[in-house]
Amino acid sequence: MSGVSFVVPVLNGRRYLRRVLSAISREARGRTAEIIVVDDGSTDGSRRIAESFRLKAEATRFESSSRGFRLQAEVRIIDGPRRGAAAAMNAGILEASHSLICQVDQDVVVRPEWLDMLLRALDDPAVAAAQGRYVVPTSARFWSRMAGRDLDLRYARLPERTDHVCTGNTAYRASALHQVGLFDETLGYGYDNDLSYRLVGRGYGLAFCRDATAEHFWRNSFAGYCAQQFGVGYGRLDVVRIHPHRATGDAVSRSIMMLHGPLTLAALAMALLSFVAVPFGIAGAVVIGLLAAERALAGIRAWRLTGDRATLLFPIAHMLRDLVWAWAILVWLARRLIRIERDPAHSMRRPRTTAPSAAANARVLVLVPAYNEAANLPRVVADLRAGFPDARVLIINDASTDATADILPALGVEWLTLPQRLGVGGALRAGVRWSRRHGFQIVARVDGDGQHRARDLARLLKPIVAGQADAVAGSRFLRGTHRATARRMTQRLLAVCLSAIARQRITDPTSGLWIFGPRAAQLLGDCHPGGYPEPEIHLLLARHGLVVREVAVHARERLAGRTTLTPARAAVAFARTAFAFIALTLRPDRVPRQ
Amino acid sequence: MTGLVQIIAVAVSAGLLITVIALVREERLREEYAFAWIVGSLVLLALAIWRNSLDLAAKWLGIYYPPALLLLAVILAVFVVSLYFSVVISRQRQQIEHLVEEVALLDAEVRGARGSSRGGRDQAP
Repeated sequence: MSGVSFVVPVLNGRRYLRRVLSAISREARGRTAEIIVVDDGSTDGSRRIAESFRLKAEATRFESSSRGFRLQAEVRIIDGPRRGAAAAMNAGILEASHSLICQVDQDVVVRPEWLDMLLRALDDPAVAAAQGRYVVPTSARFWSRMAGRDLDLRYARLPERTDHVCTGNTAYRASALHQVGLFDETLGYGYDNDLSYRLVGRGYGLAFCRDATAEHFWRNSFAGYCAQQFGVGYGRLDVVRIHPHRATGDAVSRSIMMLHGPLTLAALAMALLSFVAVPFGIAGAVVIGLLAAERALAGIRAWRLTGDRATLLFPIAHMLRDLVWAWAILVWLARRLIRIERDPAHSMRRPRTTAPSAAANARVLVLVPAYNEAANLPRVVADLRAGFPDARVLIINDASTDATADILPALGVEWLTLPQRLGVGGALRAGVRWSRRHGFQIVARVDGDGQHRARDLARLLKPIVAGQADAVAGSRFLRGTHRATARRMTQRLLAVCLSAIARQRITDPTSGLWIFGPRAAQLLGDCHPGGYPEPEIHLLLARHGLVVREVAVHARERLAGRTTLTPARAAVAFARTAFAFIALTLRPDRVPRQ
Repeated sequence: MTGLVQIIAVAVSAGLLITVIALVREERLREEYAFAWIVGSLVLLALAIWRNSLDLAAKWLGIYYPPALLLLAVILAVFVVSLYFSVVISRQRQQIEHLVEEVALLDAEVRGARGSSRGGRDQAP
């Protein structure tokens, strides 16, 4: 009997994870089996649940094996690549050591004998994958039934040999997966369709096992339903782009279902055109009427099949779904028009995940951008030596016109001198690039005017080393009260806007005290904003899903000289940042792949 | 009827065209930027020689006062050209910033190489 590897990708799946894993281990009992949990950066404590499950399995594993009978599955937890569900599954599949791979989602609880039935289907060597049947759990509420009962109806008409198996409660032949090159990691929703089509293209058969059932806990809210349907519709467009002949659907998603999105879009366009000529409006209404009638019939059939009277509301719920699909088509077309590359996050939004923790012995470089700071630099360097002694220091002399260039060699630190003035943004970009060439994984920055205390850096570094943040900013306003000056009010306004857009609390948008972990440093080396860049750094990091935290610090007055930030320049900086809000959201992601 | 005005207009347009070509010949104007100017001066020359064309075009578009069409076209052309120049300047600024950073990095590297060849980490003058 061949062994079985279970692959369970997890991203914030705390809610059902324990039940999911217990059901799997019940199925695996008595076999040579392993359970691979791929944690793709959960922040909700899923990791802890998986960890405690692993420890329990470890304990009982020895217990039962001493009796000689009921061998328990070995549980392993690995770190996912945080590049989407397909990439997480591939990571799990590559980790698997057995010839059969069961992929179970974090919201799918398999029922007894699920595994036996799937394995029976896989006895036929021509079958590459076997899928169980999703059933709607009895606790399911309205919106999850609108999705689940529709699937019930579609599955009722599915033959035993099909041309598409969904992931989530499915057993794959490992050799077949490797032969077609695993899941396509550039796809979000629809990666399972893509894989199925490629398997069928290689001449493999796909099996549907009606009696191997698994409870699927769909998202239960209106917003969740809309978000999921948007993803499904959007992902399908990516798949059809790769497999144009599948525009007519497959055995699970029949062609009439594929028509719903485009026809709804056409009907909406006709409704707009009705202002030009009334017949357009009539034609649009007819199309909508036909689609509603089709859904009403489906609702009646689903009611007779499942006895769930809520399905009679299919026309309403599914017309809404059609609207969401029409919107997905528009968004997809717009992205193709402006040539944004395909990305799994377009259909499957990723929650913000934790940073991969930096190595404890990672080298730290402190960047000090300096423009005419000859009077302050010696004290800044001395402070860094005393307060943050393990780090190397790199001063970036931004074409100063005072004695800065002359004192640099005597300071005993690394330095760069820019031949032309670029501003703090360009200076930092040069510094980050220097750090990359010299193998530093963590980059800090302090101002050259001596307003930051070096010993605060040690506190900023902690969350990075612990893997709790990609970047940490020192905040002057996290604690205490501050005078309500005009400048302070502007900063407050900026902080409120930034917090709303970045979806994390930011109190000090113009802080110059930062530590960037490996992911953030990589990003900034490629595209550090220019000008007065601090607020834009927040935007850039948030846009790429990096985790930013603030730590309260105390800032001194600058030691000597004057700030370059005059009121007029502050106004320009504010306007620039306001515009960057818009520009950055329009720009395609620049996350370095891999 | 050929007025003095037409002679002056033809002369000025031709002069503009010749100036552009001369600049290209002396490599003081790059070809990709010269193209717009050559097209522009050719259009001006055509309008100066065949004055009726402006009236015809204005009539066809339903503009009562033909010179307004000329002004509109010129404003539009200048707008497009200056937008194009903004793009060029932005790109050049990015290139310059990149070069400045690179120069600073190379400067540091040269300094390091000289320092280590002397057996110390201290700076070279």
